[in-house]
Amino acid sequence: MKIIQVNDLTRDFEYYKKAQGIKGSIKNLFKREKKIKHAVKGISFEIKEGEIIGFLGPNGAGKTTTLKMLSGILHPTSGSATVAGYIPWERKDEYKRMFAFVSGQKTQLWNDLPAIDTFYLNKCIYEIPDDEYNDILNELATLLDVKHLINIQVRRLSLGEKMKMQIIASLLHKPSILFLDEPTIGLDIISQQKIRSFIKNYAKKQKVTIILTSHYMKDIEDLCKKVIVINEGSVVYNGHLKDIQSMFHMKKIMNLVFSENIDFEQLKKYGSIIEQSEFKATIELDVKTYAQNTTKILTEFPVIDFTMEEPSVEKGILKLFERNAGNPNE
Amino acid sequence: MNDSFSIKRNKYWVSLSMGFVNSMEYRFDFLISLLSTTFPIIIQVFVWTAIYDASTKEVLYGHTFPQMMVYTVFAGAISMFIRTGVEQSINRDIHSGQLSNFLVKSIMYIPFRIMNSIGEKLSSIVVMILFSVIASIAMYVFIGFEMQVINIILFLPAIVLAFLLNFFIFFCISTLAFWITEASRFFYSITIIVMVASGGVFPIDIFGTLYVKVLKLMPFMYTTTFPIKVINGTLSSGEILNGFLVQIIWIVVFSFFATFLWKKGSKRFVAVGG
Amino acid sequence: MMKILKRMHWYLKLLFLFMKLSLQSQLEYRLNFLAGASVEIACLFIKLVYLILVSRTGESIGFLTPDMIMIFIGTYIFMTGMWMLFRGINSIPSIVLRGELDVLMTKPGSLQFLQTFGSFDLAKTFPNVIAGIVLIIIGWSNTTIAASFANITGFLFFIVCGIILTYSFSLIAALLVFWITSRNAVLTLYAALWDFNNMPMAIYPKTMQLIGTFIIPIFVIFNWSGLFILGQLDMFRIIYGAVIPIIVFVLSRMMWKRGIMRYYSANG
Repeated sequence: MKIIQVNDLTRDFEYYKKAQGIKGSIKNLFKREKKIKHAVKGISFEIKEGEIIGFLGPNGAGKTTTLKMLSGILHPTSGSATVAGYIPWERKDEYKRMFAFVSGQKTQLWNDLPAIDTFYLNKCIYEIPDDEYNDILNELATLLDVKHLINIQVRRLSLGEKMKMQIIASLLHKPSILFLDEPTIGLDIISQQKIRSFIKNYAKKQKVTIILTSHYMKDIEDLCKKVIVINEGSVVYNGHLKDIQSMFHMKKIMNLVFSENIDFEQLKKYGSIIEQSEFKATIELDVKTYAQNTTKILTEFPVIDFTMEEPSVEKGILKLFERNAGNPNE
Repeated sequence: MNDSFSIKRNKYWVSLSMGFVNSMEYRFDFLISLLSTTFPIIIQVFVWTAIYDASTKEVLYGHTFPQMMVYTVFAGAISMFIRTGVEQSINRDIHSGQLSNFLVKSIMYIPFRIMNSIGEKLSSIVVMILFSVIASIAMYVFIGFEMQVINIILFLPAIVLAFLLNFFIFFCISTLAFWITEASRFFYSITIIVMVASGGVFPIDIFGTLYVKVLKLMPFMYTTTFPIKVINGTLSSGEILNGFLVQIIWIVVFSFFATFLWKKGSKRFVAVGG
Repeated sequence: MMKILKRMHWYLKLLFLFMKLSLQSQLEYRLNFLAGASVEIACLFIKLVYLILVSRTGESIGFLTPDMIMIFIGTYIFMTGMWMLFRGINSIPSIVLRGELDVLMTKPGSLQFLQTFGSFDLAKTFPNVIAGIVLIIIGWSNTTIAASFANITGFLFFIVCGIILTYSFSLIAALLVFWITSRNAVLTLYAALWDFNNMPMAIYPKTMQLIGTFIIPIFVIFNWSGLFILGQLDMFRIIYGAVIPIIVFVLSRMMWKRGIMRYYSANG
C-alpha cells in the first residue's frame, strides 16, 4: 500500500549576495543582488507502507528540503505530495500525531534539564496516557541503553547519548512514519552502529515507514533495501540498493606513510596512484582484490602508518550520471 | 626602516577599516539603531519641557530651561560617541582564545584595540556631526542658544580626550574577564550605571550636592559632564584648560593601570589557557 | 462543549508545565539568572531616575502629583516585566533566522501557543514586576485616591488589557522579521518606542497623545489603569480601552499566520 506519494515537488529559495570590502558595504546599504537557488527540482517518487527508504546524496542536494516538505515545515513552490492520505503542509493535528521528524542537527531537548523533562513535555503535548508512556519509555530507554542517563542534564551527555535521547523523545507517541535527517552525523563509530541497529530492530517490530537521509553510505547500506539518490535537487536513481552498490564501491582508497623512500613503480602494480610525495602516497585499489593487496603492500613496503577510505558519495553519483548518460532509461 | 614602519601602519589601518566595515555590515540595523538613539533625547526634551512648564521656578537642578535642553541634547550625543564597546571585543578575544593570536603576533594589543574602536566610530562621527549641527540650529531657533566659536573649537580636544579616557576606563573594567570568567555578563549593567552616574542621561546635579562633591574626585565626570560644560559656555577658559589637564592626568593614570592589568591578565591567560 | 473544555485543559496544563520547565532551566545557570536580572535592575535604575527627577522638584505636572506619577511609572515598569516574560515571542527573530521553528512545527497544537508560551524569562521579569507593584502600591497609598472596590477592579482590568496589548504588540514587532530580515533592528525600534512610556502620556503634546492612543495604541498599555482611577477616562475611552486589546490581538494572530506562511528555514 502506497503511503507516501510525491509528484513533481519543487522548492526554490531566494537569497542576497553580499559584496566585499568597504566599497561593497556602502553599496549594499542601497542595493543588493537577489539570487534564486533551486533546491528541489520537480522530484517524484512513491513509498510503500513499512519500507525503509534511504535518501542518498551529497551535501546541499535537496534531501533535507524534501523531508521538510513531507513534514509540513516547508511549502513547496509547486508540485504535490500526500503522506498517509494527508497533505503535509496543511499541518493537520491528526497528521502531526502520526509522524516524527528527527534531525541530527536540530534538537528538541531542553539543554539545561534532564531528558526525562523533555519526555514528559512530549507526553503532555501528545496526550499519551500514563501507563502507555511508562511502558514505551522503559522499553526504548532499555533498548538504547540509556536508562541510567535520563535524569542527567542533557548538556552533560555525549553527542551519541543526546541523539539516543532525541530518538526516544520522538518515538514516545508511536509514530507510524519516521523521517530521520542525518541521524548519525558527527557521531563516533560505536554510537553510529548502535543507533543503526536500534533503528533496524525497531522498524522490524513496529510497522513504521522510514525515510532516512544521510551522506554516509554505511547508514544506508545497513538499513535500506531501496534508495533514492538525489543530486542537485533531482532524482538520479530510484530503486534497489544492490543494483547500484557497485557504483559506490568500485575502489577503495589507501593513504600510506613510509619510513624511507620507496620505488613508486613497484607500488603501481597494485593500483593507480592518485597522489605521491617523498614519504607519502595515496593509491586506489580495486574492491575485489583490495584485501590481499593491502596485505601485500604492508609486507612489501616500509609502511609506518596507513588509513583506508571510501571514495566519496559524490564520486559514486558521478558514476551514476555516466551510466545514465549511456543508458537512457530511468 | 621605512618598510617596518609602513607595515606597522598597515596593520593598524587594517584594524581601523575592519572596525568600519563591521559597523556597516547590517545595513538596516545600522540605520535603525541610529534612529533609535535619538529617541531617549526626544523623550527627555518632552519631560523637561513639561517639568519646567509646570514649575514655578526658573532654575531646576542648577540649570535653566535652555541650559537643560542643551545638556540633554549633547549628553545623549556624547554618550553615544564615547561608548567603545571595547569590553565586548576584549571579552570575545579572551573567551574565544583569539587572544593567543595577538600575544603571538608582533602587534600591540592596546593600540590595536584603540584603532579598532576608532574605526567603528568613524561611521557614527559623521552622524554625530550632522546631528550636532541640526540640534544646534534647532536650539538657536527655539531657545536662542548660541555657541561661542571658541567653545566649539575647545570642544574638539575635550571630546577626543573624553573618548580616550572612557576607552581606558572600560579597558580596565574589561580585564576583569581574565580573572572572573563570568564578569562579562555584567558588563552591560555596569556600562549603563557608569553612563548614568557620569551624567550621560541627566545632569549629575539631580542626585544632590553630596553626590556632586564625591564625583568631582573621580574620573567619570570628565567623560561626559566636562565636554558638555565646554560647549555650554558655563566654564571660563581657565577652567576649561584646567579641565583638559585633569582629563590628561586621568588618561595617563588609567592607561598605566590598563597596561598593568593587561600584562598581568595575559600572563594568567597563557598560564591557564583561557 | 466537552471538546472545548478538553482543549482548554490541554493549553493550561502545558502553560504551567512550560513555566515550571523555564524556571528550572534558568535556575540551572544561577549566574546567568543573576546576570539577566542585573541587566534589568540597571535599566530599572534609569527608569527610576526619571522618578527621582520629578519627585525632587516636589511640583506637579498638570493634574499629576509626583505620587500619581509614581503609579504610572510603576505601571510602566510592571509592563516591562511582562514584556520581558515573553521570551518565546522575543526570541522569534533569532529563532526564525536560525531555522529553529522546525522542531515545534511538527508538534500538534497551536504553533503560536507553543512558541509564544513555550519559554519564559523569569530572571528578567521578577525585578520589574516586583518593583512595579511596589511603586504602584506606594504611589497609590500616598495619594488621596480611594482604594475602593470599583477602583481596584477597574485598575486591574486595565492592567490585564495592558498585558494582552503587550503580548500582541511584542508579537507584531517580533513577526516583522519575516518581512524585514534585519537582526533585531525592529526590536530595537520597538524598545525605543516602549521607552516613551517611562512617563505618563500627559506630558506629551495632544497630537502625540492622539497618535499613541488611536493610531498605534501603545499609550493604552501604560496609562489606562492610572487614568481610570484618576477619573480621567470618559465612557468612550473606557470602552475603547477594553476593545482595542482584542482588535490588536486578532491582528497579531493574523500576522502570525501570514508570517508562518513565509517561513523558510535558514539552511535551505
